[in-house]
Amino acid sequence: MPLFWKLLCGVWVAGVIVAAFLGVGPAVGFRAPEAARILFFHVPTAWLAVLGFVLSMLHGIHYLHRRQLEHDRCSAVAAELGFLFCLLATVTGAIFAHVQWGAAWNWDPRETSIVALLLIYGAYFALRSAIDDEERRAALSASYAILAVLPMLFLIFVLPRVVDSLHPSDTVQSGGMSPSYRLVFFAALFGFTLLFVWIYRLRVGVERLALRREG
Amino acid sequence: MSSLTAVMVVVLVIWVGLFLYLWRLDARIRELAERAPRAPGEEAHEAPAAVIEPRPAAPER
Repeated sequence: MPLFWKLLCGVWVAGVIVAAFLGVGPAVGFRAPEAARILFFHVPTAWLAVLGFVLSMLHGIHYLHRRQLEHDRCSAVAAELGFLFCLLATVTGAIFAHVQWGAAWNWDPRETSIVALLLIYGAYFALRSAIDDEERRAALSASYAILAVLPMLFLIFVLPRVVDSLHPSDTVQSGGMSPSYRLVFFAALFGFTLLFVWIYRLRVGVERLALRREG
Repeated sequence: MSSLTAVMVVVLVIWVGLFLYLWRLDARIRELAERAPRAPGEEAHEAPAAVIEPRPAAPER
């Protein structure tokens, strides 16, 4: 990643952290108004999980189209990052659930969905590690990555909206966020996306080196 | 220092640590990529060599 973007990522995320704690007041309508600041970190991690899984699908399509192993590696890297951020979303969500709803785990539709998602992508890595032949592994993983996006989109975007959930589903769209919260929220989304791109490119760089060594 | 500021300082320290780790990792990966042999078909994009030659003097009239 070019130097400018790396520096911007560092300064931007540091600014988001300061703004999240000092730039906005306690949230109204929460049982633990101060703890609501965790949403500036929880929601971006969930967004990056979706981004990682969609990116994994796109590289899967590229692999099946061009049969280049680099796309298979990129697809696996994106799924890894999606899984990592999905875990972070689960942990930060459980911390907030503990203070907001009194229990770290409530089997809320979104909580159940994220467990299903972790299992789906856990199976993706099990699939990859179970096949030795590189071409076969790449083809099957690409197909799995494409198919796994469908339940992912359903579990994240559809299911929590059609059944009763403790999670609010349209806070941003319905104007439930004050302008200062909204500003820090979108700044956090941008900063964390930069961080994702940086880590993704680093991991892809490592995979390219490995491919060179193998080739 | 209030507890909110203390939490912010802890999060900032974690972020600075992560940022420096990524920065060093980035530099190391670039260094390895420059040293690693290139795969067949993967050509280095070098700038074309340019030679500056003095223009021949115009004939005197």
